[in-house]
Amino acid sequence: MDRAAAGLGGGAVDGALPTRYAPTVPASPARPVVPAAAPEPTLAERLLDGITEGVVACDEHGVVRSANDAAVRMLPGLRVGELATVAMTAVLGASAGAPTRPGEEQHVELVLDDRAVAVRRRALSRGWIAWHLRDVTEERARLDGLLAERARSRFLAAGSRRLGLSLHPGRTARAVAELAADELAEAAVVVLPVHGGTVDWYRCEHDGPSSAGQGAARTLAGPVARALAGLDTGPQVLLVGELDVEPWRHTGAGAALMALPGNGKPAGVLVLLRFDAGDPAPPACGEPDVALVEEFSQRAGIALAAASLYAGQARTAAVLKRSLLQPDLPMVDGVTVGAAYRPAEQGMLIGGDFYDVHPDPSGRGATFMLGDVCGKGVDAAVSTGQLRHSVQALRRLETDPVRLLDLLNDTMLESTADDDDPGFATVVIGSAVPLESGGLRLRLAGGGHPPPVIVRQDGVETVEIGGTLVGAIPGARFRARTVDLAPGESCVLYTDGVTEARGGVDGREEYGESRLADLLVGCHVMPAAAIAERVTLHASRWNAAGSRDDIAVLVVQAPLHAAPPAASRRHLHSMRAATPPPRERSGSRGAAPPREPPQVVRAPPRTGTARRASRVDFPFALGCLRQGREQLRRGHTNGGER
Amino acid sequence: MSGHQEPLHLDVGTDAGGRPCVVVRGELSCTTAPALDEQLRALPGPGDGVTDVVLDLSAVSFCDSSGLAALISAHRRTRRRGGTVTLRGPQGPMRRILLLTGVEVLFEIEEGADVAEGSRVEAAGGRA
Repeated sequence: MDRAAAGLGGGAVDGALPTRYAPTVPASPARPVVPAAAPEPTLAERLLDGITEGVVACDEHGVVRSANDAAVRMLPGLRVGELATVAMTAVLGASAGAPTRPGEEQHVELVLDDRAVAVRRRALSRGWIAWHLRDVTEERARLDGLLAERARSRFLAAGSRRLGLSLHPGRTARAVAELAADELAEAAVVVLPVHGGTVDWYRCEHDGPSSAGQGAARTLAGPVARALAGLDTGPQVLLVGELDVEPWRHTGAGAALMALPGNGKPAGVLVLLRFDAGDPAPPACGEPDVALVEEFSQRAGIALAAASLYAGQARTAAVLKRSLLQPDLPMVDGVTVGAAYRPAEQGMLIGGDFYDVHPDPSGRGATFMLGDVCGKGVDAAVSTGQLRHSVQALRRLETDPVRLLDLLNDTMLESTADDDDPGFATVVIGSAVPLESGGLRLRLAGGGHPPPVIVRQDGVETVEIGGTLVGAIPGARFRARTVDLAPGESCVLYTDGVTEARGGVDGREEYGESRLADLLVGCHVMPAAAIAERVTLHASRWNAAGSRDDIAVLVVQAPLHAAPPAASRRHLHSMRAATPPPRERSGSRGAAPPREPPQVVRAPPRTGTARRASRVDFPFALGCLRQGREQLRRGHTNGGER
Repeated sequence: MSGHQEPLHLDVGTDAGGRPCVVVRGELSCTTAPALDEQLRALPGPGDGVTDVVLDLSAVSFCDSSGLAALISAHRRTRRRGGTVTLRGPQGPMRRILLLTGVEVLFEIEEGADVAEGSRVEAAGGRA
């Protein structure tokens, strides 16, 4: 290159190519050399004229010694043989930091008459300088376009990510306003659809602050109302007169709005405000940004519509779920109740197990029930809701547990079609009546449910009730047992989630009724709620493979504070039975056992009941607790061996 | 959840009397019972001149309410067309839940633990 560049200087270099003009080194830079008649261009000059890059060579005095056609086009004031002055100063005159040693280069980019020009300045030998000028306008435009496109993509991608974060309509609307204010306008307002005559809006300024509020739908500016109604879907302009009220009050002149497309009708309206008073055109709806605003609006509309849909569904689900949640236990005079509930699907709080306690209208005593409908999860929860409401209604007509089960059985059979999955349940329904003497009389009717456990002061008893599934068999037979509880004693109802909890060494062993009985020994000193919690806790802990089935426990307890009678305080009509009692296959349905006689049938005092529980006797209570713990430990040890 | 659960295995065939017979092995729980229910619905029906169904339960080690629901559904369908569901050799937990819930009155119960051999003669296929 050195050689070629030097050649442009003419005879100054040995063996150099001839130059277009007879170059004469000027005596002084102040006196420009007048060019002689132009000689024929040399081959090198013709070649140089053919390239698009401008090439200029100046000698050590700053006199232009050679320039090709492209250079003359780019720098109209350039004359060969003259000092590179006026036209050149802007480009070539800035020699500060110019390369001086041959081979050194300097790169500058300049704008000449709206064209972007990349300039490369190269030092040649003997103080000569070569300039290479390249028009990079198109290149720059392409690059700028690419960067802008990337920025738009980045904005849309970030927007989509941000909009996907929330399914809350308000938070989504705020995100839309913030994103739009960041990239599309000086301020942005999102107006949500009209709801009950009002609209919610969210406004965000470019520099951060945001606000939100409500407005009356009838005061909305016409274009906004039309866009919200789905009448105008494209970009619209808000006139200055329409911009003097909240939420789009501002001092500028430009505002544009865009409906955010939703499901069928707009999910909202986006208003873009520009404070630039000198720019009457809608800010984002100018030439290149319309597409961006439309694209953004589509994404924002989808996000808002999804959030609104989700909010509606979540509300529906919450309302329905509220009716299916386990009830708060009522306060019943003369009866203490406690319950614990653990659904298989954690977080749902609803499942196929249920319990309910209804105080008697008389104010003394209560009807209670606990059961398990076939299935799990939401489907089962819906069935439990129906069953509980049925019982709530039926107990107004019938308080006897057996006849209540008869009615319930018929009701459930009628409400399921033959083709449907059978919606049956296992249920224990009981009535609790406080006794004059201080205890409780329970009448327990069963429909194929695991047997309740009575926690006595001196041990536990199982009440085998039998009975068939409720809602499965037309004309099913149910039976009842009567149990008396002394003060402090409890009746524990549980679902098969307790006894069928799998655990143990191999994770397959069932918790079983005997472990449950062992667990409950000595628990009569505990409050009803604590007993229920204890059973649930132990069954859950036994369950090695995580929650497998719903667990519900209901404990009905005779309160301690009532004074027990001196004589034997209870009579157990149903004693522990190793196997279920033989079933009666004949007999007319509906012939429920007669009600128990009102007074307690006296039974000989049982051994081990010498201690009274009128007040909790602390040494005795501690002894019972210790006994219970030992039983528990033995239970776990046995579990390991079995 | 099913980490400790035996998979359900169903063999479908016909027994000596020409009745459709399903041999069930494994556990009937909320995760496996739908497969049994689906299989029972797909059995030959009255259109094929068949009314009765035989279920061999001698190798069922566990059954919960979902399993019962499948059995009761089958009972309702066969009863409508005048047939019966026969349960063969329910053992252990299977027998216990039938007795506890009292639904055994809906079915013909055939005793015998080893009838599975006989009903597998023409086994046509299995499902897991």
